[in-house]
Amino acid sequence: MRDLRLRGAGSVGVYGYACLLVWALVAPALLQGPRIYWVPCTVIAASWLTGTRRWRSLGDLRTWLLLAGLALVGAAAGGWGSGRPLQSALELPLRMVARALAVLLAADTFAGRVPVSDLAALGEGAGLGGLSFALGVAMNTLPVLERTAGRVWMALRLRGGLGRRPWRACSRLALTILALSLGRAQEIVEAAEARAFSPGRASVKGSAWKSGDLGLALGLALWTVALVLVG
Amino acid sequence: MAAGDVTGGAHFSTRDLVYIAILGAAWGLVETSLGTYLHALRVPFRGAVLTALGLLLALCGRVLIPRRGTVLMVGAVTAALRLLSVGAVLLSPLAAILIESLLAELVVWAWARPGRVAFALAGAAGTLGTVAHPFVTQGLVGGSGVIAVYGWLIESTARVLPLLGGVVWLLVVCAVGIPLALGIAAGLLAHDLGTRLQERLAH
Repeated sequence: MRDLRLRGAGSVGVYGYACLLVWALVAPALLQGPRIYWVPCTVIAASWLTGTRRWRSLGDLRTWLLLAGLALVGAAAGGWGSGRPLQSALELPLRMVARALAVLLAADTFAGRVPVSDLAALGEGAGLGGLSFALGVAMNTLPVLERTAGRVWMALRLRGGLGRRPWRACSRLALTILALSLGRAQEIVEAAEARAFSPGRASVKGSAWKSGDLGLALGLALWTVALVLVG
Repeated sequence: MAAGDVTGGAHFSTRDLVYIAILGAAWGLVETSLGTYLHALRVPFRGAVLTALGLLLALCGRVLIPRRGTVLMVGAVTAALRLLSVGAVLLSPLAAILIESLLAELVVWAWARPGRVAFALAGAAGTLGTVAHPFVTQGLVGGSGVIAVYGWLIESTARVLPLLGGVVWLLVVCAVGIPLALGIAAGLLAHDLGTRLQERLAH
């Protein structure tokens, strides 16, 4: 099958996908009447053209239950069954479902296409200095922490479990797990410093606007103007 | 002992970042292990319980690292870990963790030397975020139509309110009071646990 992806769509980054998500949230408020149905269609088209081939939320039963719930509650609130014409009674639930679908798919695309390293770089740019380093250490610490917690819990159980004062035992359990885990910090600090890491000098390449981001943002802005004016 | 702000706004040291990483990983572990059980068992107020435990760890970090931004950094590490965990590519829990840690951070930020009261208020602010979170999410997903739905729900409830008045108030008090109590307890415990941890790590 011929690849119909946009040329340069591979260069869409965190800002482009964030623009799509913000657009999916804002656009439904700007569009009146049946024009709102263009919003989910646009999100699907933009996601597909930028390389998304699978939306997790569409395969999740909870998504369909949420949409069905919105449709039912919206229909009841819209006066369905109370003598109102069917078309006007169904307007509210259909608008809500269209908006929800657009937001879910845009969020899905954002979460699926943006690497965590880009999000960490974005956080660093927003003033959370050292986030990338901390995230790397956290990922490596997670299995050790899990093992430590398991061992301490097992030791407690072998000594009779939580006993008569469960609250005190839980407090001691938390203190021991945290003290043992934080006690390893010195090793990690020495290892990082041996590799010449210094938080003040560490330069994380921040996420810059890519050509694809600008193209997507501009395209969405023009498309919104067209939908509002032309309808 | 108060967790004073030694160097407000300064960069974190390597040791601070490692502590933040370990505490963020611990919050992530609570979310993925205990969170899975609580969600599977449909335990009521599971969101508030998980938030209280997470804030307990993040506020412990604020005692160990007396710098502004610690609580938010622990939350950011946890949110990023949550994003990485398999089958959890959902923005809602990620946003919830970030918002709750931001609320707690804003409270301790207001104090030059946050003590037990500040920690209790920070915990309460964070867990109260769990009360508002569903409404914010529903508003974002459903848009202005949700207001019409709420109006219809209130009208429908008002018709049977004389019968259910007492129950409704009890539910509202529980929905706000239980997360609030959990948050205050988490803040106070975090202060004590952090101080004890500090003493233990100093030896």
